[in-house]
Amino acid sequence: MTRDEFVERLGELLACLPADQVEESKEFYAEAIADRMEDGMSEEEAVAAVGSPQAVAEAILDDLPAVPRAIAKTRRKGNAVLWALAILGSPLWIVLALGFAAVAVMVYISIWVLAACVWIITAGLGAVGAAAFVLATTGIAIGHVPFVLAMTGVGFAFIGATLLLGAGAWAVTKQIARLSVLWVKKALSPFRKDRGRTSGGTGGSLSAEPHAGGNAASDGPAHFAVASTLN
Amino acid sequence: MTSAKKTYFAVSGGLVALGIVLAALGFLVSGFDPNVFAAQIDMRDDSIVLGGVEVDDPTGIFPLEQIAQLGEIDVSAPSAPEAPSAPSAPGEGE
Repeated sequence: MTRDEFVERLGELLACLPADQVEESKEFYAEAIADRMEDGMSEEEAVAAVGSPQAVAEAILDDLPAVPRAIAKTRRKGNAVLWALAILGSPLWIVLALGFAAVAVMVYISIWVLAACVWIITAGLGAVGAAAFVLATTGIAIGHVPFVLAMTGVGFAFIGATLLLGAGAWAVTKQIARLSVLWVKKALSPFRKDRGRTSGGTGGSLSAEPHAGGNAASDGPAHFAVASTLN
Repeated sequence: MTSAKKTYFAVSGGLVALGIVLAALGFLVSGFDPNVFAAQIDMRDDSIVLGGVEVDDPTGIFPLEQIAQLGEIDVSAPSAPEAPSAPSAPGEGE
């Protein structure tokens, strides 16, 4: 099989994917085969080393997130099947999608409410400290020395505690910000691929790097590493 | 830990320590009277008690004067209106 035949067949097998994604995959594998040919392989050997178009296409589809994969695999059976399932299954999938979205949003809000609680406690301590200082001034006005000392002490102690808790609240907020980002990624994972995650997870790479001077695992399409493990 | 952070924590801890010392001193000077930490402003009967000492005239003392001018704020729940009397049955004349 020649490189053009491989690429054409791959395009046919990936017709269920968006056109730009198909083009990206075709270009990538054409370049991978070309790089192997530059390394001294014959065209047939280079094509054979990449794998069969069917195996590569399956690997690309299997590497998609759950929802796009299900849509793509259903579309392969025909657009009519996809539409029929979408319409007939709408009472189920719309409810499930709304439920999923509601849970995802609620968990996200809950994460930030936790941060808000820490800051509210901090602000409360600060307010108590400020109120204690105000009361200390009233103590001066009425000439009640022990009360002035006690309230000044309470004011300093609470303001100091506010500063300490503020540092803790800032650290907690940073961790919560990271947690919320992780949650968003997790919530979107069935729909969207996290490109940064794919390079290290599968561990495979082609011997001939498709991009001159580049790293095959990090520069190539997300599915590249998975496809290469088939070799 | 950076020096700025160290300074921040040192200042915070110093404030807490200073506060505890001053509060303990106030408690000591008051003769170990726990009321020294209490402040009560009750506008229902115009009583203002700060650290166990009643303030008779809050005029000129911020913010007691301003609070006194607010007057009493009723925060109790409104009372329910009286239920109407049940109508008498037909034929049951008075």
